[in-house]
Amino acid sequence: MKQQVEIYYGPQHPGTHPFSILLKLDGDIIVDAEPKIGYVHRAIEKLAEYRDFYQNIPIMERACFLEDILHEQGYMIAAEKLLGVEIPERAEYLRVITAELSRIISLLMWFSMFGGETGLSTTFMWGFTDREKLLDIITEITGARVAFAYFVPGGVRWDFPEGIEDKLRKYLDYQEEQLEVYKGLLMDNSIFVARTKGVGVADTDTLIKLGASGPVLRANGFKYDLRVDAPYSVYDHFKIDTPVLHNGDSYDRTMIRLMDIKTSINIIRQALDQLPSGDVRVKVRSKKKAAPGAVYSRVESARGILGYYIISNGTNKPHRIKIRGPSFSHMYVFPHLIRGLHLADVPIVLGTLDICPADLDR
Amino acid sequence: MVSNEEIVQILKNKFGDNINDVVTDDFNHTYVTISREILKDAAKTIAENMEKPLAEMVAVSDFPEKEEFEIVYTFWDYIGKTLIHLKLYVPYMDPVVPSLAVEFPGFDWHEREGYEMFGINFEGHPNLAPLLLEGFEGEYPLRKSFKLKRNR
Repeated sequence: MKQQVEIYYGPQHPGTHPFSILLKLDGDIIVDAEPKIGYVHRAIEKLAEYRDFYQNIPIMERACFLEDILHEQGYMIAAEKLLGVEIPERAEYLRVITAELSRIISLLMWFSMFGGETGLSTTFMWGFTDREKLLDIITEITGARVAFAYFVPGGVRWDFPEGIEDKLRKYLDYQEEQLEVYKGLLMDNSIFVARTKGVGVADTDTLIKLGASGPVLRANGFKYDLRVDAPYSVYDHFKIDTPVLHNGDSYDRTMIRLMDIKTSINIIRQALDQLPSGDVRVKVRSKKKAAPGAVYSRVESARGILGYYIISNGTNKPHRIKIRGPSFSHMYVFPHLIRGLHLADVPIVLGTLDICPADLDR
Repeated sequence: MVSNEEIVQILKNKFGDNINDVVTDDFNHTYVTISREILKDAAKTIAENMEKPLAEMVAVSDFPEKEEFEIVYTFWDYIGKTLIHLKLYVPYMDPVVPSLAVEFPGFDWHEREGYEMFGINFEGHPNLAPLLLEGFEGEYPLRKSFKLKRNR
């Protein structure tokens, strides 16, 4: 007799983060999946309404602590537009460099965790070792390992310390070599290939309809990159090769993220080469009133399109901030990818969507 | 490829008086303020004129002085690189908006969030259940009338 079973996958399961998924199973085939989210909801959109544009910086970067500078970047573009602040060119470059470093940190974190989820403890250890080296450098720049609060209205908090450029270049060379090692670690591993090839595929139109963006689309043969298509900051000064892969399965979603690290390395190198001299910050009073109106800013985060919709009512506090998190949309995509697959495929598909639960619940 | 201006012109030709305001900002994002009766048709018209439309975001905001909610639907065209916000206002007394979740599944969860945080009734939504705050009872948390404990 056939009988369908409902089980909760998470929130205590090591393969999930703080969210759970209600799976409907027929044997070990997944008939349907319903994500249950909200375990780490902190109502930061509400908290932001009580704080001024300076005080909101640490709040906004905690919308996803894995890629905090990218959140700062998105928030700051909208906030500075409302405050009417123009920032020095050197500050823009420092912002791009640190944002790309933040992207690499996030992707390395994902690489390590995904290794853990697929049972490859080597990738877990190696990924974290390399991330640690980068964290040492970014600590020297910003003063913190996570939650940097490096961007301020009017520029960045302080200039790069002396000698950091050489360290950074040395690290980039090292990391570029490591990428090949990572690829070997995954591509030559027959278990990894067997578990990811052809798993969790959907056609591009369906993915876009459901709200997918970022590496999930780029692994599906769809070339787009907000840094190129709708350039913000000084991204139009650089040559950016957007990587694309064509199978759209979990294997390609893994490889595209490693290629994204390479793209970031190239951008940082170009930024270091072109780095102008000058001031890194213009003074902006914390009591400065923003112009009334609404601004929507978007950046390409490590996970996809990240948007900040800020409404100002003419005071020094925002009237409303709405965060469009990429993970929120990707979690919605998940049930469509997992239907018809096996229970053992859940951590693989979930892992390659790179869900950040903090950004999911906000 | 169809530009922002062309899409706005098509909307104007089709809906005339139901379009109240059109603003394009420095980021080349166009905000089209419409009346809620034409929301479904306007969204459909925009999607038809975009090559790969992404249902990007729904943002609900509360304006207690005017006693109304602002609802913004965002459409982004991956190929044409155009971004259009459809903006509409609904009064406190009648917070009902026709849902776009069936035609644009990307808006599904965003509308559910708007429902549970602001109490907007998205009419025709297939599953308008709480998403983040399951089991929470009380006032709608993101409305301005909901005060944080410290600020009460």
